Order: sequence, then structure tokens, then C-alpha cells
Amino acid sequence: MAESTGYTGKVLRIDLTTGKTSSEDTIAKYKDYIGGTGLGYKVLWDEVPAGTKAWDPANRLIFGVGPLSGSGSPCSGRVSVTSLWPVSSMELPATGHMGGEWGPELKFAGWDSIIIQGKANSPVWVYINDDKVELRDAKRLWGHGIYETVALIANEVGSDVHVAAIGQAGENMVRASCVICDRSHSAGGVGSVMGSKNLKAIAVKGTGPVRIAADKKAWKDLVYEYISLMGCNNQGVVPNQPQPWAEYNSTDTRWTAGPGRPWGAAYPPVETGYCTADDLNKIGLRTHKGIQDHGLAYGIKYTMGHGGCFGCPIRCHTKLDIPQLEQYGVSRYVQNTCIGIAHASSMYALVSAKFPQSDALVWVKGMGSQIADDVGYWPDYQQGPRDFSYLVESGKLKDLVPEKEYARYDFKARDARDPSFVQTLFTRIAFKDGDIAVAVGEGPEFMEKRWKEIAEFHNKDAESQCVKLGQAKHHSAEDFGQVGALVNLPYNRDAQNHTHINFSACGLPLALKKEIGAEIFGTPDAVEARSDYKPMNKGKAVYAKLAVYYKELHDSLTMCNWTQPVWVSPRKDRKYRGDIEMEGKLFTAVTGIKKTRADLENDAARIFTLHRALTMRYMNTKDMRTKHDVMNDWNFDYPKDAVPFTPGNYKMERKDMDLARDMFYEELGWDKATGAPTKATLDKLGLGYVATEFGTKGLLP
Amino acid sequence: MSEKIEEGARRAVDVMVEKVTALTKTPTTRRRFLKLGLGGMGAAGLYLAGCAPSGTGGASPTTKREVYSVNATGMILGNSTLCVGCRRCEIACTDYNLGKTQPSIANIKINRNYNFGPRGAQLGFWRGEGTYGNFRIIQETCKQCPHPVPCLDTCPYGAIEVVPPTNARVVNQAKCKGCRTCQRACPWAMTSFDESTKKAQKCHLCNGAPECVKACPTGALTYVPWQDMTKLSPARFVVPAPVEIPKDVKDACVQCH
Repeated sequence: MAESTGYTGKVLRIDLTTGKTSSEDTIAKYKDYIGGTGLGYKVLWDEVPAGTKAWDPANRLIFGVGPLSGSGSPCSGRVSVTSLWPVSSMELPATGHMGGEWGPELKFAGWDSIIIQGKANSPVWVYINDDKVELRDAKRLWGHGIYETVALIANEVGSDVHVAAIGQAGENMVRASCVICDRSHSAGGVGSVMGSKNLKAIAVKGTGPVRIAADKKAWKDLVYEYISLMGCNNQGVVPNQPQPWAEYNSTDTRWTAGPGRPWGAAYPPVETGYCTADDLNKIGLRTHKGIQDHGLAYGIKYTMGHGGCFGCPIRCHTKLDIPQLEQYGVSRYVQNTCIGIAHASSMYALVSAKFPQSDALVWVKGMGSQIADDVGYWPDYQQGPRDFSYLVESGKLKDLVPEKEYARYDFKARDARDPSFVQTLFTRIAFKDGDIAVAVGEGPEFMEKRWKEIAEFHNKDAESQCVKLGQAKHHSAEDFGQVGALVNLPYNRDAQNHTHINFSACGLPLALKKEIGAEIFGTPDAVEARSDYKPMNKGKAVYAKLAVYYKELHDSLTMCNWTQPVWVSPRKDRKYRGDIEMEGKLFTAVTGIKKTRADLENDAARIFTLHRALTMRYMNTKDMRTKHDVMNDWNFDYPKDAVPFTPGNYKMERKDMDLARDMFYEELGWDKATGAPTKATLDKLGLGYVATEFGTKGLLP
Repeated sequence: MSEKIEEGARRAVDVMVEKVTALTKTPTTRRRFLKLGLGGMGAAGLYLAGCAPSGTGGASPTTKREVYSVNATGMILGNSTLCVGCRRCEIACTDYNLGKTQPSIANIKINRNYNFGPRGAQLGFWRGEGTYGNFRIIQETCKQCPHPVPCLDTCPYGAIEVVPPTNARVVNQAKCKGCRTCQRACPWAMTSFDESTKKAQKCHLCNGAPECVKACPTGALTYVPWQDMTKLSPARFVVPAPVEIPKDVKDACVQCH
């Protein structure tokens, strides 16, 4: 029998209630769903009935990897962790995504994904050593932070183990908690699901291969072709500032390397210099993420290096050296990226202008990341910290909690920007220590229910940045008009979608983006300059559709949606075009299963529509348009005097967004009035079984 | 074997020993080595000609067995300040040589130092190396050891050979019997064992165009002229006693030393 390529052929199932492990045939059960989120959604559909709650033993926790994971395909390190989502007030299905090395290690161990169900009698951890899977007593680990948990496990089974673990936050059933692997890679939101199952960690050692179907030379040529099309973090394809070798440049991009822009805290400092498009031995230097995240001066001062996920040449996690943290009893070495490193700043100031770039800001952010990633608190794309600061700065917090509880916090330390404030706060959150900690730890959606002040803040105040239903905006209307706004509607958490900004913020001149956009979306009108948006048009609906399809596709394959797709490239010889066929080429080369772009977009449509169906099933409504795909008022009311569709703002218009929904649903094959997938669409996508169930429940439009 | 032939063979060995002694005492280029007239023995090495396996009584060498390994011409150097832990070097090594992604048998070692550095997990790991420490990721590459080469000289089957033009020490897959002696012999644990072929493998410098070097996204790996790193690098583990030098190799050692 031919050896499996791409896929390993086996999915691992662990029943924590019975302690039994088993394996299933990946291709037989899940081939139409690829892997990752697709596989996760299919498991939820098949196995988790409506009415199940996130912390029920019957809830599934699926660690989803796909055929490309661990294949060595660039940026093939991610894991999609799918479950019923404790942060969602209706506990709807959602996915946390983590990178690092853990997912590929699972493939090397011979597994295509892990399905976890049930609940252990007492704390356990799972040790996967190739095909040997054991449940081990976690008595010694329970109560420890994530870093120590990894060290304790490594002492037991060897230092090359890769561990995904929860901290005290997940153990204590804090809703806003995460699973962390490989130091700084966080699958948001699912920590307490593991906690509810008494599962402390999953440790993996894999010595086997991921086989590549294509012959060695063809694979090598494809990989190098692909890397030549990659830009920087978020697929910027031109440098961030003018450089002599580059035809174009744009402050939109994260190609922040250049002369005089070193990793200043490295020994010795690493000068990044000109990282030209053709020098693939400097592609890992292009994104000086320290500068991106901390500004020029502080980025240079504190950055000692970069890191990231398996097989990715871009390296978007910044390694910071902050010696000042040692006086607080924590390590001086901090690794994280984007909101992972930024979030603590919002615990000190609602508006970032109130806490400008400074040493103190770096120390606070470093402390926040260090503690959050150890206790496993998940700040929900910074929504949690913003909500906290709003309550403090508005004076409302004083009235909402008992005086004694309020007095337990040293708000002077907060004013002084002392890192000890967030060190205390995050630790208390992890241990549910006091009303404030409990409220923040429940996450923004539940806080809306607890305190109407927060519901009001989310709905009316743009500074909340809460786009809808307690969810933080994540490349919404600010990136890029209705396209971003639509992308932020269909999920049950912040959107976690970068398909659209990887194209629209790639840094090429607008005219060129329009030209390339026309090739992809059918019209140049889909593409606009930031904050210069026009009324809705069909092209934007096509763009938004492809944005959600490709996010699902990437999270199923898995490929990193922060660096892909490569619709554009830095290559002038290709007129800056990338290759929209690349996912199909990679999939075919790795698995030996021939799929074109159209095939994969169809798979993505199936996966995305199944996600929709899951949401409807657990909400028990077909009226998604008015009950789910809503937007808070501030999206349409802020800035007060701004006129929508005039330059300088991203204010949306209610009627225009209604039209946007109409067009979006039409593109997706969903009913215009309700936003529910039609029976015809479900049948066409091979989701006839969904139509059958929905038919009996009155959920078909 | 007749006395005359035996005498001739002994004299040939003496000549060889003289030349080799001269070789080992002075830095020598490969060109000079060839000029010394040892080229006929195989440009890359020095063979035990005329030493018959004991008990056969035959004059002709039935097994050509390298004993003295001429130095490699190149090696891969890792700059740990630049290493970003992407492991594309491990990927490139196995993908482009073996057609599969299997970092556990890559000929450059990153993963085992990734978490906690070469010393592994200990209390106070945040003051150590690796991703849970000071972020330094040490890349381990084959030192292409100078003579005596632990893996090559302990292989009972002579399966590890010096292969020009790089003179990398390479496991000959046809000759390897999968005994794993080389794995036990290397003080830096740089040889790997492929369970699917049941053979050992090690860094062969990709015949002069190392894939790992090409793949590195920060230029942390460079392919440089060979120099002896064996005295500079602490052993990863102590070579266990049971690794024996094969008899035919041991017998040859005496001739020079």
C-alpha cells in the first residue's frame, strides 16, 4: 500500500472519560474538509448536538492540523483549535489558532489531528510519542504556569518535546483563557475547555516524516518559487520606506528593515540593512517586527531577534530583552507579536495616545505578555483590557464593585505606568481573585451581560473598538471599507482574517492594486485606498467572499493566513503579481491529490458554510442577518460629523451595509433576507445532511 | 602469500607511513597530497592495501578500508545570533535530499536545542538558552572531523567514506548495515538513523552546495573553508565505552602512531 503523502492517514481520538485512545482514517472521514478548521467543524457537526455547552464533557476540543502542516511548505506550522467557545455568550463554535512547532510535531508523530472528548476524573496530561499515546497523571503539573509545565514535562520525557498547555487561568475555568505552545503561540479562547476536561497539557514527540508526493526537484523548485513570491509579514511586497533598490515603498507594509535599523539588543547587534526582494537569505530580516510593534527607537533598543512558526521564513514574533523586568521577578526575555505584545498597554490607557511610546510602555507590554502567556490569560484581541480601562477611567468601576475590592488595586501604580499593576491584575484574573478579576476574566461578551455600562460602551463608543456582540474589530471597516466590515460579521469571535489586508495593505500603488484586483475580483472597484471608501459594489462582495474562503482554506490546510495568500509579490519581473494558484500547486505537490484553485475554493466554501450552519444550529435560528451579522452603532455614528464615503474616515452607512450584506450573501449562495445558506447551496456543496437537519428544525430559509 | 610479495607489500606500507607521517605533520592541500603519489590509492584517502583479512592468507585487499581521512574542504558554520529558529534548514536537508520532511533525521540539528538549549531543561531555565531561556538557538552541524574520524573509524563495515570534492564524511547507503555504531561514536550525536531504510545518514555537505545554507532566511548558516572545530566544541555526550574500533582499523593505527 502506498505510503501516505501530506496526510499521515490517521486522526487520534482521546476519550478522557474512559481513558481510551483510538485512531480514525483521515481520508475516509474528513477528506472533503481537508483538515484544520474544516475537520474541526465536521466533528462538531457530527458529534456535538445543539444544547451542548462549552464545558460539558460532551463538547469536543479538536486540535486540527492539515496535509500541509509539517510538510515544509513555507509557513506550515499552524494549528486550528476548534470547539464550542466559552468566551461567546451563546457558547457558539469558534477556533483558536496557534503556531509554533507543536502542529508539525503532531504530524511527525503520525497524526493528522486530535479529537478530545469527555472529562478525566482528575488532572491528566497526554504524552504522544509517535504512535504511543499515554494519559499521565498531572498532579505534579496542575497549578503551575505554562513555562514551568513545559520544563517539568521536558525533564520527564526529553527537551525536544513540544508542549501545548494551559496555565492557571484555564485550570480555574476563566473564560478568557488560552492554550499556549512553544513559548508564545496562543490558541485563544479554548483554555477553559481543556480545564473543564481536566487536561493540563498535550506533549508531542514525533520522529517520523511528512512525505511529499512530488519528486524532490519539483518540490524544491516549487518551494523556492513560492518563497520568491513572499513579501513580509502580512504580505507587504515593498519596503516600508524608500530604498534604492525598490521601485515602490509604502508605510502600509511591515518590511521595516533597513540601514540603521538593527536588532539592537542582540549580541552583537544585527544590522538588517537593505533586504532586497531577490535576496532570499535576508527574507527573515525584512520584517523588523520590533520596529513594527514598538516604533523605531524602542524597536531597535529592545529587539534581540525574531522567531515564529515552523517553516516560516518571515519570523513575526519579536524577541525582546527587557532587563528591567528582572526586578519584578520575571524573565527579562519576552517573545510575542502584534496584540500578544500590545494588549497590556490597554490595561493602563483606553486610548493609546495617552500612553505614548516610551521605555515604560515596553516594560508594561513585556510584563503583560510574560504573565499572560504563563498563566494563560487571553485578552481577546485587546477587548478585555480596553473594557477594563474604560471602567477605570470613566469612574464607573468604583461604583460597580465593592469598595474593599476596588481598594485592593493600586491604581497609582497604573497611573505611574508601573509594570507591577498588570503583573498583579493578570495573576488575579488567572485565579479569579476578586470581583474585578472575575469580571474581566469572563470576557467582553459576558461583561456586557454583567454590566450594561459595558454593553453601552461597546455599542456607542468607537473607542471600545468592539465591532459587534462583544467582539473586537479586527481589520474591519478601517481595513478596507465594506470588505473588512463584511469579513468581521460571520464569525463568533474576532475575525482573525488577514486575507484582505494581505492584499490591500501590500504597499503597491493604488492603480496597480486595482489592476491586479480586477484580475482577481472581476473589477478594479473592489480595491480602494484606506479611508477613502465609496458605496458598496459587487466587486467588494466578491473580495469579501474570497477573503473568508481563503482564511478557512488556510486554517484547514494549514497555511499561515498572516503571510498568505500570495496574490501579489515583490517581483518586478512578474509585474508584482503573485500566484493565485499557489494553494492548489502546494496541495497537489504535497498530497499527490490533484486540486486546482477552483477545487480548493469549493472546499473552502463548504467549510465556511458548515461554520455558518454550526452557528445557526447552536443559535437555533435562521435569522442570522438580524441576530448575528449585526454591527454596533458607533460603526455608523463615528466620527459624529464625518460623512460616509468621503476621504479621511471609515464611517459606514447603515443602508449601504444592508446592501453589502445582500451582495455578500448572494455571492455565498445564502438567502438574502436571513443570511442563511439556501438548500440549493447546501446540496451543491455536499452539505445535504445539513439541509436535512435544518429542514426538520425550520432553519432552511 | 610468497615472501617476496609480502616483503614488497611491507615496503609499500612503509612508504605510505612515511608519506602519511609527513602529511599529518604539515598543513597540506589536496593538490600536494595528490602530488605525494598517494593518488593511486584513492585521492581521498589512504587505504590498507596488502592487508588481508586474518585467516585468508590472500595478498589482495578484499576490502578497501579508509583509515586516514584527509580533511574536508568545507563546513557549515552556524551563527546563533542570527538563527531565528525557523527550521527551514532541517526541512531543506530532508526535503531536497530524501523527498520527505523529517527534522528528526536532518543532518543539521536545531530542534533538540530549540526549547532549552543544548543542556536541556533545568531549574532556572529562564537563565539558560533556547526559546524558554535567552532565545539563543544553537545550530549543530557536522564538524567533518579530521582524522581520526569517530564515525568513520568505528564503522565495522567501512561504510562511511570520504567523498571528494568536499571530502565530506558520507555514509555509503549500499554499504551501511544499520548497526548504529556511528550514532554511538559521534561525540556530538550528529549521525541519524532513518527507520524507513534502516540505515544511518549524516551530513554530506550536499556535495558542495549545502541546501541548509541556501534555505536559511537570515544567512545564519554559511558554507566556509574547513577548520577543525572538534577541540572548540564541547561534546554533547561522552562516547560510551562499548564503541570499539574495528580490528583492522586498530591494526593500522599502530603503523603511524
